Amino acid sequence: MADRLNPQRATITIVVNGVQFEARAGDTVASALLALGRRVLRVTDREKEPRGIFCGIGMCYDCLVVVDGVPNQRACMTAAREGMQVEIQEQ
Amino acid sequence: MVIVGAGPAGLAAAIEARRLGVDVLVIDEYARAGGQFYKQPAYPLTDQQRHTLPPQVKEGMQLAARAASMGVKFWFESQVWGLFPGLRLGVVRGSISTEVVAQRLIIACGAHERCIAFPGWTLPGVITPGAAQTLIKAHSVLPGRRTIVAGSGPFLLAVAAQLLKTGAEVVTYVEAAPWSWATLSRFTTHPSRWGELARYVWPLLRARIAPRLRTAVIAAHGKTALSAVTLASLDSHGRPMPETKRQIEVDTLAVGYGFRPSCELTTLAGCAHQFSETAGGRYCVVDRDTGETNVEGVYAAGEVTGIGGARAAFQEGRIAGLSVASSLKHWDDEASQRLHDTRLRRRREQKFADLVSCTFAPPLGLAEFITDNTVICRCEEVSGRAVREAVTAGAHTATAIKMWTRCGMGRCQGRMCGWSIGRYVAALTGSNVESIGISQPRIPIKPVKLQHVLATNPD
Amino acid sequence: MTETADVVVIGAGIVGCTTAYVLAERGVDVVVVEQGDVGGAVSGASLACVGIHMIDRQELELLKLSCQMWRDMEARLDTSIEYQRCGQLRFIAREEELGVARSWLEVERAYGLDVELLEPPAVRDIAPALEGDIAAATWSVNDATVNPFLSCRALITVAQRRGARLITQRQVTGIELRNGQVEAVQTSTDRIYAPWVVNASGPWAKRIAAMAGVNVPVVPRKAQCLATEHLAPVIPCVVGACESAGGVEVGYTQIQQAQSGQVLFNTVLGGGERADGQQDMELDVDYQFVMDSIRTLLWLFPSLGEVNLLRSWARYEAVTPDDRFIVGPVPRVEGFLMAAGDCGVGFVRAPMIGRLLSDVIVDGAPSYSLDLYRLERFAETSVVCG
Repeated sequence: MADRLNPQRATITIVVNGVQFEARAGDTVASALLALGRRVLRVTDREKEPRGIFCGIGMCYDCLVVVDGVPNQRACMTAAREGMQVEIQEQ
Repeated sequence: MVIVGAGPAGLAAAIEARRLGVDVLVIDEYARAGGQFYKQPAYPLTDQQRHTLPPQVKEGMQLAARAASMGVKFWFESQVWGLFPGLRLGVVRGSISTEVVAQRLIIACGAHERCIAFPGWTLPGVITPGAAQTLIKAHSVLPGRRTIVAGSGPFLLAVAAQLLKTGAEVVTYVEAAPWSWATLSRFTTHPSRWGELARYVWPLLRARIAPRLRTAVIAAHGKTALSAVTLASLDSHGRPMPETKRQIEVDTLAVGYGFRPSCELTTLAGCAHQFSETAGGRYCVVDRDTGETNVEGVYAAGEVTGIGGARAAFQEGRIAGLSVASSLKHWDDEASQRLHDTRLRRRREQKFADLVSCTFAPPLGLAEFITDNTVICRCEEVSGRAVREAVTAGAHTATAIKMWTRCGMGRCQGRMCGWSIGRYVAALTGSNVESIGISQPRIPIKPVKLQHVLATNPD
Repeated sequence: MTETADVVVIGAGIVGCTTAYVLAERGVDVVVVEQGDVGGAVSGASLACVGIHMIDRQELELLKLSCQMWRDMEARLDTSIEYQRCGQLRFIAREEELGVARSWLEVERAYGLDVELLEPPAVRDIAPALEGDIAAATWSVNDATVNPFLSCRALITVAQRRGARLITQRQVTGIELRNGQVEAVQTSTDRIYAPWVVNASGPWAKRIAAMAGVNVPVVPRKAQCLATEHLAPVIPCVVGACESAGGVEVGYTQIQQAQSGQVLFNTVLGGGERADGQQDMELDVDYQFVMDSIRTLLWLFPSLGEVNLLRSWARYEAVTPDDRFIVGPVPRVEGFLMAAGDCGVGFVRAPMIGRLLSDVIVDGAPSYSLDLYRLERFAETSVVCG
C-alpha cells in the first residue's frame, strides 16, 4: 500500500511470518514492512489492540516485533538484513 | 570529553573542541550522526542522489564528515543507560556494557515529540511528524497515500512540504494555534529565515492546501488501522467546539504538538531544571554564555536546554564545545573571537526561537480531547477514566498518578504520555502543568538488556 | 485550621494505613497526616512479601497473627490487593550454608509451619526457569505477596469510609505536650488536638519522635530495587536468599514477578545505612547494586538474559540497632506511640502492629505482649525534655 520513493536500491530478502519478501538496502524492519503494506505490527497484551509505527525513532516501543527469535525488538531501530526472520504476533 | 548526542548541538560542540585539540568522544544511540534535524539517508546513495540532496541533509553530512576527519571519535548504536558519581557513564555498545569516565560531559540529547492523547491515537496509521520525516528521508518510503498533518508547530510545515514533494496526497494541514496576520507579520523581522519559510510554504500554496488554523484532530477512526479522522475547530481556550466536527477519510495522520526536552541524562547528572511550556516543558538550566550546568564538569546544549530549534542548538553546541576546551586549557586567540561571535549568534537565534514558540503555543484546552476511553499510557494501556479516578481519589502529581495507575511504568518510560498526564491532571485539578511535576527519570534511561549490562568492560 | 481527633497517625505507609484502618474499624476517630502521598516513603514501592519463613525466631507468634490478618484482608476490605499465595523459595548458594537453613526449618517446623528443604530437581519442579546451580532451597508454601500500593490504598480508603480523615502533602512540624501528655499535632497549616499520636513515619521516625522529646534509635537505610519490562509468567513464587548471619556472597536477595509481568529484583551485599537528613533526598540506584542484582538474577534465571532492564527505584527504610520494630508506648510521654523501624521487613508485621496499637488505645493494653518491641530495650533511651 505504501510506496517506495526510489525503488532502484539493492534488494535484500527478509522472511516475515515464514514468507519471503523483498526489502531494500537501508531499510529498517519498520520501513520494509510499511513498504510491503503491513501497518499492524502487533497487538497489545491486555486489550489486544493493534499497534504499528508511531514515533519512528525508537522512543515509543510500539513497533515491537520478533527478530531472529528475539522478542520485543523495535522494528524502526532494527536494520533489515539479508535472511532476517521477522515474526509479527497475530491475534 | 564526552558528548552524548550527535545532532546539531553535539556535532557543533565536537568540532569546536576538537579544533582546539581536545580528545572528543561522541556517543549516539542511532546508526549515524545528524540526530533528527540532519536526518541522513540510511541507504547507499548514487552519485546523482548525492548531488540532489536537500540542503539540510547535505549540511549534516558535511558536519559529520568534518568531525570524523578531524579525529572526533564516534560511538554509534551506543546506548547510555546510566550516569554514576564521578561522571561515570554506563554505555551499551552491541552486546556489552562499557564504563566511560568523562572529564567533561556535554549532554546534547535533544528532544522527543510532544503528544496529546485522543481517541484512536494508538491506531496503526497514526504517526508523529518525526516518524513521517524519518520514513521519507532516511528510508525513502512513503508513510501513506492519503495523509493529513495536524497538531501544532513549524515542524508540521516542514513535514507537510516533505510529504507533498514525495507525491503523497496531503488532504489538509491542521494547526491548533490561533494565528492571525498580525502574528505572522512578526516573522518578517527575521529575513534570514524567509528562504526556509518559503521552502515550506510554497509546496502548500502550489498544492492549494490552505492550513486550517485553530483546528485539531480530536479523534482517529478505523478497525485495525486508520481510515478516518475527526476534525474540530477550537475555541479561544483551545477546547474543541462540537458543532464544528467533521470527518475526513485518510490512511495516515502525522500529528504532533512540538517537542519536549529529553532531560533524562541531565536529571541523572543532578542538574537544575526549570519548567516552561513554551520551552517544551521541563528543561535543563545552563549559563547561556558558557553552556555550563550547575554540576561541575557537566554542560548541556541544544533542545535539552529548552526547545529552540536546530540553529540555536548549533550555536549552543559551539559555545559548550569552546567552554569545555577553555576549561581544559585548550585555547588560542582566535577562539576568544569565535566564542564572542557565537554568543551573539546564539542570542539572535534565541529571539527567533522565542517568537516561534509564542506563535505556536498549544492551547490548554487540548486536555479535553481525552475521554474516559482514550488510552493515555500506550505502554501500560491506561485509560483516561483510570487517571480521572486516581485524581478524584487524591493523586495530584505525576508521581502519584504513576503509583496509582501505572502510567509511565512501561517501556517508553513515560515519554509518550508525560505531556498528556500533565495537561489532563492540571485540567482536572484546576492547577497548572508545572505543579503536576514529572515522574523522575531513573536508571536505565532507556531499556537495556540485562546480560548486556552485566557484560561490562571497563574502558 | 484546627481539628480534633482521638488519634493522629503520622505516615501513610503500610504501618500507618493498617493502624488507621484497625482504629477506624473500632470506632476511633483518626486523622492520618502524610508528607507525600499514600504509600509513604517505601511501602508503596516495596516487594511486599507476606510470610513467616526466615524472618525472626522470636516473633513467630505475632508473625502468624499478622499473616492471618493478611489472608483475611481482601474479604474484610471487599477489594483486591492482589493477594497471592505463591510460596517462597529461599535458595542456598553453597553446601556450607545448609546448616543455617536446617536450623531455621527446625524451629519453624516445631512451631507448626509448613516448610521443607528441597533438592535442586524439586526446586525446578516449582520454578523450572531457576536453572542456576544452587545447593538446595527451602520452600515455604504458604508465603504470599500482595500489591503494596493497592494494599495501602485499600486500607486507607476503607478507613476513610469508616470516618478516618487523610491529609496528604502535609508535613508535621510539631507535637505539643502538656504535663507529659500529648495534646496536639501541628502541621504546616493545621493544629490537630488529640490525646494519642502514632509515629509511623518510617525513616523520619527519629525526627518526629524528637518533636515530642523522645529519642529513638532509628536511622534511614537506602533500599533499592530494579524492574524488567513485563514478560509472560516465568517466576511463579518469591525467590530469596537463605537468611544467614554474617552475610554471604549473594547477600539479601529478593526476586518476584509482579502481577503486571515485570520481574522485580534486588541483591544487597550489606551496608547502606545513612545519616539523618539524607532520607529527604531524591535517590538513584548504585552502580554496584545494579551489577550485583543482575548477576544474581541471571545466575538463578539464565534464560532472562535478553530481557530489558526497565526501571529502578531507591527509597529509605527505617533501621533499628537490633533489626526489630519499635512499637508501643514510650516512657514519660503519655499518648505517644511508636510504630517504626521496619528494617526492610515491614509489610508482614504491619497488621499486627495496627492491631496491638489499637488494643493499647481502645482497651488500655495490647492483646499480645509488646515486650520485644519496646523502646526501653535500647540503652540509649532518654527523654530530651518533658
